[in-house]
Amino acid sequence: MIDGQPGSRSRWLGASGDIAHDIREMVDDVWNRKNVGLFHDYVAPTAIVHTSTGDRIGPDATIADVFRTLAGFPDLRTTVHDVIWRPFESRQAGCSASFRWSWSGHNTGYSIYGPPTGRLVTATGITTLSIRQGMIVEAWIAADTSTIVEGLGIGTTTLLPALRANRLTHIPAADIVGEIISPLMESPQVDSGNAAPDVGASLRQRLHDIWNRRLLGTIADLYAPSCHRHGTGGRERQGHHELTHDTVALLATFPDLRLFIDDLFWVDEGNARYRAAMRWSIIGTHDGPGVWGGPTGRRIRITGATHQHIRHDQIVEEWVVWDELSLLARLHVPLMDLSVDDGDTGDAPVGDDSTIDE
Amino acid sequence: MAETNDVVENERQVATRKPDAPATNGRTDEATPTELDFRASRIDFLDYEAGAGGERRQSLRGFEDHYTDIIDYIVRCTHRMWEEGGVGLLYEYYSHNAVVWSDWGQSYGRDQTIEYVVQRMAGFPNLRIYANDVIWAGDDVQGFRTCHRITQTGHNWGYSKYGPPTNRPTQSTCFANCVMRENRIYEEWLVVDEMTVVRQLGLDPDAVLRGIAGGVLPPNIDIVGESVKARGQGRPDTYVPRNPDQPDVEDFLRSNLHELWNWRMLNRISDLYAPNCVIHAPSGRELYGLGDAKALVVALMASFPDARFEVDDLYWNGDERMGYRTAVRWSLTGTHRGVGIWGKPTGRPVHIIGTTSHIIRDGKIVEEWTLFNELALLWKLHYA
Repeated sequence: MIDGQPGSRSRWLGASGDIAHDIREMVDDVWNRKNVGLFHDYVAPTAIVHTSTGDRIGPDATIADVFRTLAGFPDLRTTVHDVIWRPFESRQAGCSASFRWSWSGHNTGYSIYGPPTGRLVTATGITTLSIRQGMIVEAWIAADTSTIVEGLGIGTTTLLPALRANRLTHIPAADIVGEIISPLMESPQVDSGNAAPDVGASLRQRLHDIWNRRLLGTIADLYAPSCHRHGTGGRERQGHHELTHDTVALLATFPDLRLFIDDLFWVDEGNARYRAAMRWSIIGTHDGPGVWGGPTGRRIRITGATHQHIRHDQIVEEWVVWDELSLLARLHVPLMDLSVDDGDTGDAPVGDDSTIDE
Repeated sequence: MAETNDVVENERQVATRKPDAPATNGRTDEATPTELDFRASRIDFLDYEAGAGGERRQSLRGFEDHYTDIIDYIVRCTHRMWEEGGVGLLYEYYSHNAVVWSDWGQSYGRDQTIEYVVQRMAGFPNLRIYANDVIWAGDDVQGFRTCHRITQTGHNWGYSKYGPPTNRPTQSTCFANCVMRENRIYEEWLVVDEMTVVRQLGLDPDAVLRGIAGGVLPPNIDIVGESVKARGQGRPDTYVPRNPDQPDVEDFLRSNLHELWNWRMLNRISDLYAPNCVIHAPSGRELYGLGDAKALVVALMASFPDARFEVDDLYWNGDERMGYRTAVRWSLTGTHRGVGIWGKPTGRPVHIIGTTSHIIRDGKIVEEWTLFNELALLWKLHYA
């Protein structure tokens, strides 16, 4: 799976020949045994780690993030629930892996959310890794941070000023925003020459039908009747009716929404069973009612990750993770203003916090 | 219509033109060997150090013996000068008359560059310069060209050009494009995302710009020609493909960028970009999709209505299977006559230098880093 040990490192992903095992081992070592410095072995110095509060570079930044979390939740335990991977391709391409995790712990220390509350919280997430020569060279962390805030009893309204002031949260400028251009009626490419149906092409096509073509009736085709979705923000949904309403609600809030699948791979378990992992983006205009206040008219991008269990061409269980807090921050922070000659730089109108539903 | 429109004629051809020809890399007819590709070579800086003094991977006439290839030279000489503090190594790695161009003006000779490095170190004592990519072309006879995409981090513990210490952490992107021969860089184009740094420091760009002493040389704004997009009453040039019979990365980019910018054919966006492309734009803007890609171009065109876009240098590494990674050094000239992001129209003529690196897969740009120095642009428009 991996092309040999990289340099002088004692540990690397793929060392055991089983990438899933090595990822579990890494997470256990770093988070639970607190050998955090091992990230110097696992994370390349120029690795870019995409988080909802901005990109981090290299192991030191990642190690600092781990300690910030560990300090707030000293008894924290992290569990890896599943690892889905894309096999090694070439020395240049390396391989990819996506792992679903959760941690829980008591907030008995100071954290980025404030002083200790003593409360027990749980967070879940999906991390996608791009691995070359046994090292992580790029990572995308989708974390459901709203359950942390909820668990701590902090209202999102009180958190917003903190999010704005938090110097770790770099909210990028949002003054260059284009219309949404998407091949609405054009189907994603399906390899028709392939006799065996391609799991990825089929998933892309059917998600395109539901989300972009707004054919919500096809939800009943893609999802098994008893399908369970573990949604972000701790939203548990089951059955076609609830799954459909999830989609309806999001389409009401972002009426021109488009879904793009940015990466997709899967593990074939045999007997028409697959475990699929995807990274996705949604772009849309905040033009409708919904739990995030507004409408603000902002055109935003939400990035997230999903794991799916597929049996006989239908999704039987699904985990969806994206960061609602980051969405809130981006919907309601003031825009960057470079109009220096107006003399009031940085004082653009502030979003109305009072309309945000906690 | 008496006249046929070359651009419209080109529409059909462009649609079928895909950059999947063997990379010629502007050098020989051979593709860059994979082991000399940044993405395939050493991942960890320790691997570069461990390989120092090893067998040469390519001909490096006149370079110090311990450098094995041009990527190794860029990565380790940067580390030795900046992180290890060997600033005086600039006397070895830059020629006596080296020119460094930026949007603040021109820096001439080694000593000015040494002063620049020391001033950066004073403001950001724990400065780190990470190589995200090194794209290169050329050879040791005609000279190497390198495009070094950098992420810089550092705390503002000291006094800097932005003012007194703020103690804030910063992280920003930077492009250093160098031309070198026999161990020495003789010309460099430096594009730094200073607006991101100013924002991360929590400073007001207006206050910073009022306090900035300016560039090394004041820009000449008293003698200016018009921005020539077309000759006289004619129309913009027609791009002549260098390789009309087969797909070619250079033709793909040059023809589409020329027609997009200088013909104002905004529909070239969908020829250039994949629908879910990611564009890392200046000031930390993360753009996504065809609409955002178009909005970035329109924002510049609207502010500089007579803008002319010029590709100054272009080369690439990679292959069809892994994707091509390009280095495009460009300049944009125009008059600040329109409303937009950069304030009320000032009527000032400007010359912006920028660098873009694309990742091209299946004939479309899937990811891009585009940089020009917005802080310097604002300074030139409103404060110079």
